[in-house]
Amino acid sequence: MLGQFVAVACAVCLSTTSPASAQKPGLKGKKASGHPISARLVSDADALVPGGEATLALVLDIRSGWYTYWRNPGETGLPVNAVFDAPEGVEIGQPMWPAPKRKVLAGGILDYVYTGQAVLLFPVRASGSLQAGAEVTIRGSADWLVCEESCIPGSQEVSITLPVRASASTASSELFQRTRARLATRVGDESRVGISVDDSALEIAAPGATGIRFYPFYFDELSFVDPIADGESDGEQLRIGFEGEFPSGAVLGEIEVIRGGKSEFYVVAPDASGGG
Amino acid sequence: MRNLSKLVAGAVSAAAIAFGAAIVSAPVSAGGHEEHAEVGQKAPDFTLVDVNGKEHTLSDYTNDGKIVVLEWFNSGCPFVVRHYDKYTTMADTSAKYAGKDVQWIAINSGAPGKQGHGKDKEAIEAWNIEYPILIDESGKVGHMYGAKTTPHMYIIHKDGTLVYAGGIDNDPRDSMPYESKINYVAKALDEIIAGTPVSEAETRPYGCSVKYAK
Repeated sequence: MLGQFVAVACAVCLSTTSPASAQKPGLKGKKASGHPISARLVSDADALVPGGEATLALVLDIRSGWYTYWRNPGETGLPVNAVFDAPEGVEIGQPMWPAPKRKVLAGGILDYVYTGQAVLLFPVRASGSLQAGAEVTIRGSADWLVCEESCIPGSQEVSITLPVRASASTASSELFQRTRARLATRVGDESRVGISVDDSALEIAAPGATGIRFYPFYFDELSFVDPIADGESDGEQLRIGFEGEFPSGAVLGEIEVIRGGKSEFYVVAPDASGGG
Repeated sequence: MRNLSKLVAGAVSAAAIAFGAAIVSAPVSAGGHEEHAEVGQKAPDFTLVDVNGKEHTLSDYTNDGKIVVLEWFNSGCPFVVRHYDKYTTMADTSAKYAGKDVQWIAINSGAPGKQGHGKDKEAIEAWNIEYPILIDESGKVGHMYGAKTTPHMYIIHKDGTLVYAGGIDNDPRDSMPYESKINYVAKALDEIIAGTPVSEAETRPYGCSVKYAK
């Protein structure tokens, strides 16, 4: 079970065709005129360099008022999924997920979502065997569930063609900067963020913070007791109880620490960061 | 536990207060119902009316020697559509066990005006649904069971114990052939009927959110 939600990257999801084909008219009241998400691939580099690396962004532009889901979608929904068909000499790695937003639905249901735009970053490695002067086309297929009041599954084929050159220029566009700014990193300075865990609760302490948000990963054997109330704090501390087996060494999730009006994002790995 | 744990929220907020977080006026909010479902415990009893106005009481079925399957339902949800239209998971599974003292019951906890509300009769006709769909527009029973998704499945044994809570199968993305999916409900029913413990008593449900009232 766990694998399906966490390792949503590639291998697991071979040939998923769009569940949209499952829908027949009749029961659905109305059909939206256009799908609320459109997908595209963007590269941070203008070329692939033999033996070099680049980053691809899968960008989902989401219609206002709609949302799609993070790697742990929360209590409902499905994470965005992408499968690539990498050509010879190109290797595409696991996605990097920028931190989501919390969304509390009527009746007390908590989801982790993206609004406006969902951007997943994929590391790309070009083999030294690629020939300068050639062109490489990377094709992929993305699928997702997008919701407003109701939910619609969607999928789209995406592709990008890049030249192979001896050198490339990498433009760190606003899109990449904004996305990377929401990628969680290991806590470097424990005086700024302390993470600790006891038998039944996870504690975050971030001096000077005006808000802390916890975005947990999903575990079969571990559940957080009241993530709606306790997964968000307006102060320097956050404490959230859990039940079940604490997965030793596992990354429990990510936190957003708001300090001086800016957000910082950290990986919550109590063992590795010296806590617990 | 994970799907049901929301309901013990009140108790645990106390711990947060002890920790010194700026005292919240204990958000006992949505989860404040007294009875809540927990696997291994007695399932909370309820009475709801079906789309034809007929009353159904859980304990009437269990007292009558039935194993009861509860399926949270919303005909507008694509995940529900998947199991009624692309596949016939619900029809197949309910039919397979109908002669084995199993009563299948669908529940719609959607609020008036929300997706799927008031569409149950159409669904019964379109999908030839042969079991009752109960109306829970206040969401009371949905909250009692901690139902989050459509579908969200529960099984109550003849003695009234909740023995399964979770998904219909192990394939949220619909990435496997129908025959390869593990139908958790069928698996649990086989085990119950064989008199053995349910090996996977809690799984992660998947689907649309239940369209509760605010």
